[in-house]
Amino acid sequence: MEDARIPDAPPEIAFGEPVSVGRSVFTPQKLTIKPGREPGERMLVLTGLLENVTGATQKAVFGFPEKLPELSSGDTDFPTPQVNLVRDNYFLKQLEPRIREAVTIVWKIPQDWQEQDVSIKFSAQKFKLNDNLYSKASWLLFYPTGTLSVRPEKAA
Amino acid sequence: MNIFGNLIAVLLGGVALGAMMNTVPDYNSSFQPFAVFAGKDGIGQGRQFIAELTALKRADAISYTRFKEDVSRDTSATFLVAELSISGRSESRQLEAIWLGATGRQYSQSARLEEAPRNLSLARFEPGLTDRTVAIFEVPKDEIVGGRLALAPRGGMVMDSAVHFAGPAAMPGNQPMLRLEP
Repeated sequence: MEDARIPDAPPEIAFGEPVSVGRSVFTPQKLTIKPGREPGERMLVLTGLLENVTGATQKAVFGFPEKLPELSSGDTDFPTPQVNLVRDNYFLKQLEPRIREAVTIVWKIPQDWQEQDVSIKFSAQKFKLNDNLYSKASWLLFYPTGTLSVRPEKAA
Repeated sequence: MNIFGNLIAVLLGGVALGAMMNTVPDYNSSFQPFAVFAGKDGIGQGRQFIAELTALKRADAISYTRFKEDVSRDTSATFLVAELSISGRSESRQLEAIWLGATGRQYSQSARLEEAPRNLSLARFEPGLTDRTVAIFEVPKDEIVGGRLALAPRGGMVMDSAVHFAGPAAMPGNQPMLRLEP
């Protein structure tokens, strides 16, 4: 039972290591600070590969209700990120099985944030093939699957 | 003898219970629409609509005009475009399409092309009127041959019929850029 229990602290992951986000698997590759569209605006951009590991098209790539990766750094509160496709910078609407997509997860950086280490927490919903109520396949509670702790690079 | 007979009865009961538990349909398979297969002429008749699969095309990119601006979309795999001719039967209905790939995976219509002209996602089919429409999927190439198209009323598909069209026998020719016109 102790071995089957979900650990309290999710494992530390590094770039290139896949982490489950439930219906898909995300492989982080790079974290950079880039200038935004408006003067003085900065963005924190996490680039990586996202692959649907279910047998059907998924609109709830990061679970339902959606739980995007949580960024924390110092005492600063970061807004909800936007997930975009790299190839045309159009936001990700759905993910098809067996089609791995390069994506960016983009946070707007608050003005008071100074460059320092950041921590990104990933979560996944637990899948149950036969739930206790209707014996139907369900995605249930979220649990932490990994934490990426890195210092972001500055964009060239 | 009496004890032996009771033991046999209990064992037979256990076997019967096990057989029933292992063969009862589960929720996931019970709550599916009834599959109706289209004929060789490509025409299929559901409870609420009649549809004909007129062509299957493949493209690397798709372009169309929206509000006088050209829009172009590409894909990491290939676009599969199913051209359909559909008429309603007894009431106005919206339909949804799924591509059941050769591996058994289910591909929904591409949400990135919902605004393309004549897209099935925005179409409504009226009784007695026949409309042309397209359903666009993003699929890996090896999911096309051996796959099939399923067409069903949007929303509450339970206790309704889904029309299945056989996929192509050979890979459809590829177009680098497919232009969709109204």
